[in-house]
Amino acid sequence: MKKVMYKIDEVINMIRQDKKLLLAGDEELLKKLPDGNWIGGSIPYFMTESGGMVSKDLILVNEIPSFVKEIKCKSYDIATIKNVYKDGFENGFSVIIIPGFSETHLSFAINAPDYKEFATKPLIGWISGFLLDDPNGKTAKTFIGSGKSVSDKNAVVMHICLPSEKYAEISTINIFDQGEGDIIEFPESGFQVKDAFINGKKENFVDYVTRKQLDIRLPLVADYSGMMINISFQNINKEAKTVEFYAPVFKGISYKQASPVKDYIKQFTQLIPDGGTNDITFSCNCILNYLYSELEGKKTGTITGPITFGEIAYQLLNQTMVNIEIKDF
Amino acid sequence: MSESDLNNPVWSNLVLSKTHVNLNFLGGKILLSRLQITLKSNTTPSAVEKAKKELFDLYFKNKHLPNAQKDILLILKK
Repeated sequence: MKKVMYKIDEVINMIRQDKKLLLAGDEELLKKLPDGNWIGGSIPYFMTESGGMVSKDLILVNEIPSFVKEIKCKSYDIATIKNVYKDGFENGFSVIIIPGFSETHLSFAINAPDYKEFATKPLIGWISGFLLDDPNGKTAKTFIGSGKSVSDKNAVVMHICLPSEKYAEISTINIFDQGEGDIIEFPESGFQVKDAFINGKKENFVDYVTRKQLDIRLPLVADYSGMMINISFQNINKEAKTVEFYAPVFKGISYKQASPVKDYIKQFTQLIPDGGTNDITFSCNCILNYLYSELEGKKTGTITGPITFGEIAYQLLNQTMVNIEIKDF
Repeated sequence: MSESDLNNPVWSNLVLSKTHVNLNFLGGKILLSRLQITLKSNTTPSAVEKAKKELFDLYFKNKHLPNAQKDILLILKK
């Protein structure tokens, strides 16, 4: 199984050898890295070659294959993030990292489907984060090409151009499916909701969650033409009577709460494609799957990657593993 | 798939949820769902035209990809 976790000296050597790298690690480690062809995001949670791991000493490295024709690293703020699809290469894919809870994160989550050329080119990536029980109250960070480039506002993107005989394909592994419960719709799009339509009848959503004693570890699930899209619960504010989510709900979409999952690892490994995972260039999984399914020390097949505060496969997802594979035509 | 396939009514039927196809291409699934939601609240001819063109363009641009090719065959057979 391919090694993905490296000590900082090893990563510095790779950067100095001019390798093109996607990095995930603790903020303080990434700050020490020299200039080079890399982007990175802060996170101390990983799915590694030896299983789920929390580390502030190692960096997860995805090396872009040498057959790649060209890369273009670019930073996007809240005003320019709308160009992220348009800026991608015609034959290639783009990897994005956005600082968790930044304005750019919130804007991308809600507006991405309206961006020019949405979904016309593969965009995969993740939301950066921090150690959840860090007493120093850190914010999520991104880096572009230098340890000095740290930002808690800007998304960073590596646009990658492939040779004509290859193509990139995004896939997702989502163990959640719509349950048999009520149909839930929302009058407005957003990360925070007050009211919902339950089977067409308006009700305060906190009242509904309380009345039905919902297990909020299970996301709301929408069916996007056969692709299940999760929206994870973040917080129930009983005083304000609001519910907050890790991704926005959208007006006009019908949601159902997911069916319970008995054994995450078993269900997950059953969903890994028969062809294996050798062609996966980049993958990431959700911090909520890691926490709720207690993945520390456990392997999710042979798939490795950062454990993140949100996953991106064209748009923001929750509680989903996303992968990109480079294949030959 | 050629540019003239844009005139096939199947594209309008898809975005208006009048026709259903089990899609394979992830980008197509997400975009189609977003377009269907948009048209729930606005079915003016210009909105339908814009949505159908957007879906068509996605597949036209990606017509070399295996999963998009599968979808194009399914869509144009409808």
